Amino acid sequence: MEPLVTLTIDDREVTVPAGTTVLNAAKSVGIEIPTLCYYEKLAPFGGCRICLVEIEKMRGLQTACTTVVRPDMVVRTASPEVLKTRKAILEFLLTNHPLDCPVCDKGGECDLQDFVFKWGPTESRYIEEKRHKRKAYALSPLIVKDEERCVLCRRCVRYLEEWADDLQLDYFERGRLTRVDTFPGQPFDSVFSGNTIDICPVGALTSRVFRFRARSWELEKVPSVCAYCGVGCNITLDVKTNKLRRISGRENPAVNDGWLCDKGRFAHQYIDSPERITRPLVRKDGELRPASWDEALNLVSQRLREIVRESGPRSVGGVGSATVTNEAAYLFQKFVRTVLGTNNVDHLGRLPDGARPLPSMTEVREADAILLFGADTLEEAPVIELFIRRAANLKGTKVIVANPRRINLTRYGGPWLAYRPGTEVALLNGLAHVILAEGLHKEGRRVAELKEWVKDYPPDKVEEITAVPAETLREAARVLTEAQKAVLIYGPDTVRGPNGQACLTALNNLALLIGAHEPGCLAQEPNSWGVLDMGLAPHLYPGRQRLDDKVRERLGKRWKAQLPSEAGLGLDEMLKAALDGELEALYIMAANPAMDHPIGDEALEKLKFLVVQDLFLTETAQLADVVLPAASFAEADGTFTNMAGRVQRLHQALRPLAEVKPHGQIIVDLARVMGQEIGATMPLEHYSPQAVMEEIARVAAPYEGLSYGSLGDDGIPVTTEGGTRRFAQADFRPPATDAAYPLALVTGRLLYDRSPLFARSEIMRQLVPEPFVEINPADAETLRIADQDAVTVSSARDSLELRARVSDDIRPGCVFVPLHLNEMPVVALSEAGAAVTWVKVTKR
Amino acid sequence: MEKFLLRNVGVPNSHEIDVYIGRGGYQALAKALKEFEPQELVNLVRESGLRGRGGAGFPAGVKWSFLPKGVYPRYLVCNADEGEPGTFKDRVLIEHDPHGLIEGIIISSYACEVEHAFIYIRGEYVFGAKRLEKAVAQAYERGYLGRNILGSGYDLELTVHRGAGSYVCGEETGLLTSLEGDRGHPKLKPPFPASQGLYRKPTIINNVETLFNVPFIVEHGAEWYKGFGTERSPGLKLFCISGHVNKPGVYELPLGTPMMTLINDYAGGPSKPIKTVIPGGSSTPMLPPDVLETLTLDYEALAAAGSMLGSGAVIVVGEGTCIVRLVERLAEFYRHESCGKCIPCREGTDWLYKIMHRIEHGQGREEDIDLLLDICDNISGKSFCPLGDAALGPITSSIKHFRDEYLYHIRERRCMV
Ligand SMILES: Cc1cc2nc3c(=O)[nH]c(=O)nc-3n(C[C@H](O)[C@H](O)[C@H](O)COP(=O)(O)O)c2cc1C
Ligand code: SF4
Ligand code: SF4
Ligand code: SF4
Ligand code: FES
Repeated sequence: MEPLVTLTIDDREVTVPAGTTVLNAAKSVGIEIPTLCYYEKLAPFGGCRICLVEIEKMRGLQTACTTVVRPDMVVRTASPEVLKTRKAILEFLLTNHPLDCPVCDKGGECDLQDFVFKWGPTESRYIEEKRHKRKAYALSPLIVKDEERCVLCRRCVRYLEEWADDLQLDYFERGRLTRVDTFPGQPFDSVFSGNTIDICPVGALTSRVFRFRARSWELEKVPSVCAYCGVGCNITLDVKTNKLRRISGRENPAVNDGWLCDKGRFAHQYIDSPERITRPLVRKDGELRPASWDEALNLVSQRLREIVRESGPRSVGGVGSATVTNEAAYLFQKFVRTVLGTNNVDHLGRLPDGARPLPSMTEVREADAILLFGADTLEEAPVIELFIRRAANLKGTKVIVANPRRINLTRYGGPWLAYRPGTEVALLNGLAHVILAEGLHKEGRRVAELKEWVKDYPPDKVEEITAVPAETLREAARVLTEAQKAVLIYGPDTVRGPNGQACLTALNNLALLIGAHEPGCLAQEPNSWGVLDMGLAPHLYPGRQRLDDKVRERLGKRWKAQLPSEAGLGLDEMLKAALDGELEALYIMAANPAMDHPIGDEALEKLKFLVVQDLFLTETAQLADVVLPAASFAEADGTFTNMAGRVQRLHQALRPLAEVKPHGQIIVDLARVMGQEIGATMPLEHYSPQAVMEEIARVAAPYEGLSYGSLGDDGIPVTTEGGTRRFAQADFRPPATDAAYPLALVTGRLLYDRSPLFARSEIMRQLVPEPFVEINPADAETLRIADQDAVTVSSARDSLELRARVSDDIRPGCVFVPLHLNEMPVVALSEAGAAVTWVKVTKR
Repeated sequence: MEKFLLRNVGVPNSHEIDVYIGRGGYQALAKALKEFEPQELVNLVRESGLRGRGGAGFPAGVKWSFLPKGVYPRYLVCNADEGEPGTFKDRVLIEHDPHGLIEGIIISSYACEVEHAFIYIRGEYVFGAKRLEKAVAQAYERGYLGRNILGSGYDLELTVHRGAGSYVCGEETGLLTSLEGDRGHPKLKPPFPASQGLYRKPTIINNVETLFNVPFIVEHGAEWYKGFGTERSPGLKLFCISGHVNKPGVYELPLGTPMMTLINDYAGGPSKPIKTVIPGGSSTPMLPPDVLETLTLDYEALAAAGSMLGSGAVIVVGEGTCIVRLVERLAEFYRHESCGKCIPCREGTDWLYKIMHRIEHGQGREEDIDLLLDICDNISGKSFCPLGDAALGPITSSIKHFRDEYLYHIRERRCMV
């Protein structure tokens, strides 16, 4: 423990750990000292001077925010001189402050307002003309700046320096003319820009999305969790008159530490989109027409029953998504298994068996080296990117990037291993080889076998296979082994497909060699882990139990149902079966396989009956026979399990629009229409997610004992047991090639894309780039393609028309096409289950 | 009196290395490298009692001894920003005796175990910067800079860096941020530059004149040096005198010399009856003529008189000068130079200027005088760096000594003179 220091503040004895500032020592006993430039997550600055206090035996006043306590200090925070000074600082600020309070979005939560109320002058002595500066101009498409309101605390600039490491704002001019602005001609487009709004103490930086949408004191504040990615940032939903007005970051040191990315913060206007489906739709005469819930559910019930009766339960299936809550996912699989009587249940983007959650955020933040394998935290898990940037920037944490594409984090100069797609296993084996050959591995490991397995991967040969220079490989190995706290993170696609398991094995070997935590998967969806824990997969029951007889019997008893014993089909197999006419009906919850699966649209078109529950008429819903209007994450209760395995609570903040219902409720209602109770009903027949969680806690071992009460606002980590950690052989199989299609397709998400929710979020959607294919200058030259040329990217299966973006961000021999930017599904280029998709690019 | 600091000024081509060497230059360096261990030089300068000539008067040898043991690299920065109005003594040294400065820097760097030194020169000193650059090049050529200086095994790089024009870049932490390529903003202390300065490494910052004194101390010894000046203000000092005197200029005198000796015997006497004297640069409180007769030019005497020795810039203000106009102009300077980092200085200097401007333009109110004083009180000791305090001297001291003139200005809406 740190030594303690005792001092006196305002005649009270205060004992705090050495190194504490006077400010925090005072705070610890409830003595308030106002601060403007100080922000607890930024380095002390000492600029505003509002925190000046008196300390005996020190000349003049001292800033409480920068002065560290010493034994026997005697501090006075409310002496006449201190109060006079505090008032003076506020008076100084007010001399040129516009006092826009009645129209300022910060009104009611503005530090300047509150401080003047408590300590400020009541009269103005200032009779000169106020200074005028720029008002209400767009600092970016998302942020409005008012220079007159700015108190020049520099929090925004310091945050961009110390956290986002996007130096896009700074002071300009000097003295009274000083202003914070972007650099001439340069954008403020950091995806972490919105945090500056939260930390600005006044209304100088305000949100375009929230602008004039409410007075802060009218807002009801509902704690929730961001539903966009796997980080699971804690947020507050600010609601007025049943409308979501604003999202802001909520403090949770174990997750996002109060920070958000701009997607999570600003992209919520889809909730109010006029395109929301607000009533059930039923296909009549070939067209989807509004219908009542009774009509729609009766139709679904009748058709599903018919098909099950005629073709057997194997002919129906359910597809969910990892964007729904645990409660909805649990009910969905239970519905499919007990009411439809099949294990044909899965979800889009399922993580492969063997993938493991990230270690806690704390471990990620404290790592001294991070290997990012086939993952891009900026696009896929932004707040983790924020943490990594801070660590790299301020602590010198090394970031090793293994990716055919240059990602932002390569800027920290950790080696960038730009491998050829399909050669991941060789690359990882090569790393193991170097570590073993140079004797860099952790002592005490029995490495003889591994040595044998990787003996054929010396750096030179690995260079031939992967195109990663031998020296870069060696450097990566050295960086990894020099680290005390290395963390290995991989993208889900790395461990999918035919080489996925070998990749996982090779990653595990590497982690074992260097004594690191189990490699963790950068799960992309808000509930990727949860839906697996809930058994939303053909081969898993809740709690990730395998479908064996014993478990089946036990669960059957609990669920009072005869559970199917036949193995179920996964998503790929279901869609193939649909193409072959063997699967006749699908029930899809919040997934869009028509866009997101290589054979999605063809397969769905073949179905006899398709039910979709979702917020919007997605490409998939447009093919449906019945569409059921579902609630957004803000309109329902529930829980998500984030990428580090933390279960967190979402609170319903809005009453659903019109006839919209929460996903879970729709399932419960349908089950009831089909003559079966699937739990979670209360006497008034209200769907109760809380009751569902109680049931989950009884059947899914890792969730044992969890309840909404115990989760609180901060959530609880659950641990699903991992495999045994030992070395294993990872076989590298060179990917097949195709001379007609010489380029390897690399795909990936962009943070701002045309996925259904984001694309319907008014202001944010302007930021979505035009669809493009990124091609290396060397390849572009051979193909005589120039930047911005219209090109066709084609594979043996399909083709896409795109614009070329010529850039060495992508390695030669590859092209990068982002997912979810076009109207055409990018995945249609790929053969389901192929290790590498080969394409060619031609000029149109 | 024999000249030391100014001994080469006025000698034809004094800025050329051969002239400098011909007049005994670089001898002290040879002596320092041969006869002294670095620590012995630190002790020597400490014994000499040499105080910083940049304004604050902090003993140079004491500052050097604050360098943390065993932490390298260390840097030495010569502060040639010379921004305080009325101050032009460093300029004379730089332009006429650049090698004297370079020699001082090399010896001081050796004493502080520095291998890279910088001269941060204000942007406006274009001529001076060119002279320095040329002199530095010559010193490299002759082996006084670079590797293995005079065969001693000691290496030193010296870089001349031009500022972009801001008074606050003369403040040591502002200077360092500017030198690092950042916006010139003062930084939080602690850490003090001696422990974490340039590039977060131990750094010594001294004024041009401070460093210029060092070779003489090496050459003649600490006792010799202490023979000049008073007990607490030992040594030689350059005074730059301007304003209403017949021969404004830079004069070398031992500290403790009577103010009237400087004005009458060196500066040719006042050109008008003296109304007031600003004794140490524009920020130092002005003094009424009646104290001048007995005033001596040393740190203690000026403090006792309610002002400061500052940079040694004596500004003589003659009768016929409007004090309100003078103070308004100085207030404008300080508000213009306020860097904007802290609220009291940024907002306060603006407010002070606006009130002074109103009074000067016949829009004053009697209560403005108390308001000015209260604003000064609200800035005093509360700003982030001493610039805020520097802005107050002219205002508080002028109200103290010339309140009547303010009142006249306010009531009559015009100048008294
Ligand atoms: C606003 C401000 C401006 C300053 N300008 C200068 C300057 O131009 N030259 C200088 O030598 N010191 C200047 N100083 C003093 C320096 O901060 C520092 O004390 C000095 O360079 C130390 O050198 P010395 O100990 O040799 O005097 C200034 C200080 C302040 C607060
Ligand atoms: S914009 Fe806000 S956070 Fe940035 S300096 Fe101004 S007041 Fe501070
Ligand atoms: S990082 Fe992910 S969870 Fe956090 S705000 Fe952004 S999208 Fe939401
Ligand atoms: S007192 Fe404050 S505003 Fe003035 S120059 Fe110093 S730091 Fe800048
Ligand atoms: S809060 Fe302490 S100086 Fe600004």
